[in-house]
Amino acid sequence: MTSPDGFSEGVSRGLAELRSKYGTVIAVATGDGGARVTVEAVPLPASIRQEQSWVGFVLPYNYDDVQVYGHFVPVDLTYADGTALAGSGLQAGQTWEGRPAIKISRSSLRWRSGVDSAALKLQKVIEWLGARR
Amino acid sequence: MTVQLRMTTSQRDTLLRHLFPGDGEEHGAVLACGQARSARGTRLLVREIFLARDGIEFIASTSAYRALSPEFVARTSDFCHDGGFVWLSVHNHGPGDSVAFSAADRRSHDRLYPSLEHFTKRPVGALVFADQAVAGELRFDGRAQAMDGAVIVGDRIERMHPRPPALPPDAPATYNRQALLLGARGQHLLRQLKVVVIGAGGAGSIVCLQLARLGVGELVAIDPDRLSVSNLSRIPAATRWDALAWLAESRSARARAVAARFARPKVRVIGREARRANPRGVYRGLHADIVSAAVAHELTDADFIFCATDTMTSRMFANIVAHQYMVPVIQLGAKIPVDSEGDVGVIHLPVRPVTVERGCLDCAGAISQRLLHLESLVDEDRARHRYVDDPDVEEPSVISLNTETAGRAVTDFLFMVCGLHSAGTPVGHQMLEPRERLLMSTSFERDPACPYCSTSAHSRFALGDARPLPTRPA
Repeated sequence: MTSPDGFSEGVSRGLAELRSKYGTVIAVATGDGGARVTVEAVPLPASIRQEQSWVGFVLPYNYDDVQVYGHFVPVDLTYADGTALAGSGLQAGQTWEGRPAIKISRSSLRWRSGVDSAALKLQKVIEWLGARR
Repeated sequence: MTVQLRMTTSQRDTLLRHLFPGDGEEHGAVLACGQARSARGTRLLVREIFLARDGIEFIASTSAYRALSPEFVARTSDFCHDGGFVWLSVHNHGPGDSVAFSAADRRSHDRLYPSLEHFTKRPVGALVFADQAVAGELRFDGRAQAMDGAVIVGDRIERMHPRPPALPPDAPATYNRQALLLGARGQHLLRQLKVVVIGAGGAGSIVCLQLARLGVGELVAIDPDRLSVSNLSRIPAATRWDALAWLAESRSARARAVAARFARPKVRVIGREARRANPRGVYRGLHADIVSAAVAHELTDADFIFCATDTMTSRMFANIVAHQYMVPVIQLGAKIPVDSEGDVGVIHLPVRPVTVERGCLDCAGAISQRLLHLESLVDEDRARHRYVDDPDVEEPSVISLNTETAGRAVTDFLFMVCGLHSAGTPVGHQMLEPRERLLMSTSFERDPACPYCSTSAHSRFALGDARPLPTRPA
């Protein structure tokens, strides 16, 4: 069962939650019920120089029975001291919807459908990124 | 169209303990049930049991001997209205193997149920239990339909009927020897079953052929793959012709591509053999992905499911169906780790029964979210999300190991359905490690908030058709 936009019921719910928490969200249908999602203005922690940024990730067709993994942020994000994002869990040289990007790898060992969500995972990933400095 | 109640063993035991405490009196309860409708009939899936307290919620009545109190009816029907569940009242008559509604019961139903059906916007109904029998009636759109009985899903798949079913005829001569173990009733039961096998590869093909030989009445195999030459060592009765071997082994890339595109689908190879093995049975081979919206419904009205693929997607999907539709599942496989140096690690042959009230594959940690996520992406996204260990790399597969795990799984199925495990034997997950000749039971903690096997608010347990399955559009 997919929406007129081509999103599965779970993906539509996930997008609604992201929009209610983060405002503008661009969602491109992957053709199988899933979505490539770009949250345009995610507030960043103080340890990052920029105040906000776009963050991209995929919601697969079977979200939220599957985790959200692989978050993409702009290559020009830096820590407050000016150093570039780098290290374990960060992979440079990526692109997200045509934009140069760094991939953040934070896999969930246990993912609980109905409790965990794309919005919560995004918040945790950004907190993790900020806590590295 | 049949109407069947499905409940777990522990739900049944809870209910019977309440109804038959040994005082010879009538007692009452309400069941809140999910619904599953298909061409095979309607299934009512017990999600919650509300036991009525004697003298407070199950009280003396002017129109019947005893009845549920108005407050209890209001509270439980509110729950059903809010959750989208079917409301079923329950009471008991005396012990025995036959039971039926009394005239007073029917008058009570006629008075109460039209307004309850209107309020809950769902069918409503009633059950009356003896300790070894159950009769029921479901009302929807103002019409009443008798229930055919109940299936109790657990380590044993048991059945309760309004009265003892007629003795089946003797088993056909083909099954004489196995009927000595199963009995004519067991053999007859196999013929009534619809069994779905996900995956028709090394293990799934052997499961299918054993089920056909056993005399399972309706067998459905689902697999999106076509036969390749490398399958010929493992899929029984597959031929070089099926694999278009002369093209597949050609030096020409174009010829190999033609073979890959036009070789016989695995489900058709299995179908040929399954029909030979059981000409009286129905076989359907679906050359499709299990999560395709076009085939997912085949699982929801099955009596039993085998999950014989090595993908997390299939495991997750089977686990969801098991709990959302109360269909028992056995997941089986053969994991043979061989590294790039040729060193062989610990070989694992798991057989994991998901008996609905235990064996959840998610709680057991048998579903890797990392791999599930990777499998769930479209090709374009998968490339940039890939981890170092590529799941597309072919792993070893050996017919004797596949046969070992398939045989144990089919035996568990047979014993669960025919009640042949010794009384009290827990049908849990097992792991065979053939290099060490070890057969181990594996245990795990159930997550009380599991989204599949618990009854927490967000769980899929017993919801039936009320929650869409995570399918890909057809």
